[in-house]
Amino acid sequence: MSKLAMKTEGDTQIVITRHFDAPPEAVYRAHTEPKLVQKWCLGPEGWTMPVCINEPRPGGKIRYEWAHPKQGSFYLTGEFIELKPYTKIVHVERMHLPDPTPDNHVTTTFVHDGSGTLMTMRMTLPDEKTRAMMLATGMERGMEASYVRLEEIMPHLDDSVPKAVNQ
Amino acid sequence: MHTQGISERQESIEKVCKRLQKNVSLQDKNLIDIIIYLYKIYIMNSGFDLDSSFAALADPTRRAILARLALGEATVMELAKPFEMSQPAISQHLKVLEDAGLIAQRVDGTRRPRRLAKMGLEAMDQWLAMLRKALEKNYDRLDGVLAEIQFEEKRKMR
Repeated sequence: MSKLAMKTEGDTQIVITRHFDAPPEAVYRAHTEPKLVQKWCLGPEGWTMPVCINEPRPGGKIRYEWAHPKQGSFYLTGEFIELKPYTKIVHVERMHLPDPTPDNHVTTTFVHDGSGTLMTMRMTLPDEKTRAMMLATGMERGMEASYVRLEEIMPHLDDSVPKAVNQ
Repeated sequence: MHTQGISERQESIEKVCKRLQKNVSLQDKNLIDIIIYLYKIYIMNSGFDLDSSFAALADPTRRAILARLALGEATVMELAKPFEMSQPAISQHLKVLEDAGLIAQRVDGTRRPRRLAKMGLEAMDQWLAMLRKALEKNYDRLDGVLAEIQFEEKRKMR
């Protein structure tokens, strides 16, 4: 059973909730202190985060760099907008693959939930068109297969296609 | 191929696109755009019948049909005209494209105009599934980090 809940709201919002068996102070720290972030914010197996910059103040910089022995590396940049210690973080982020994806606005709140914390993360994505771009850059695994196949078909395009179109 | 980084892959796709653009006239630029667009759709639909999509693209007539549909919807008759092909032959190509999920048809009286398929919805679902998986992994690890933090704090208080 997964403890994570995820739902979409309207066209542009994704709301993620998760309970943690630790007080909001600890969960907040784990989201803001680079040494802690580097231990868990790693995505799929095999990735590490050699660089983690977090300046937890309004306007403060965010930069996460991930690396994988076989898949290479990519990074994320962002800025903090608002921070209320232990209860709320508002920031904006984008991936660089290496072209930047559209900005993702994120509001994360931490509230007492029994002896633990209920974290709610609300991501506000841009409109449909921008989201499509995001999707296009996000599908990392599929990208591999797509590139290989695209290269396979590309040489045949040069001579064969224009004929039909020019008529 | 699996040892390539994301940035190298990005470069290789750009190289391929540039090579392609060099070899075609301006008129065909629209076709290049549509191929690049299609390739992006493939990325989004990577989990879903990628092979049949690429098989559909392997034929020059079908690629030209897609290029035409990128300009707007068209009927079988309109599509058949520039190719000097019979309508049944064109219909066969359309069926392959439809099965691959690349085009869709609309009913308009007796007409059945075809258009490029919109894949936004499936793509969104896939992206959400991917995001969910990554976050689940992250938060399972975070559980461990939090346990460590609390252990440290208790030790300090003693």
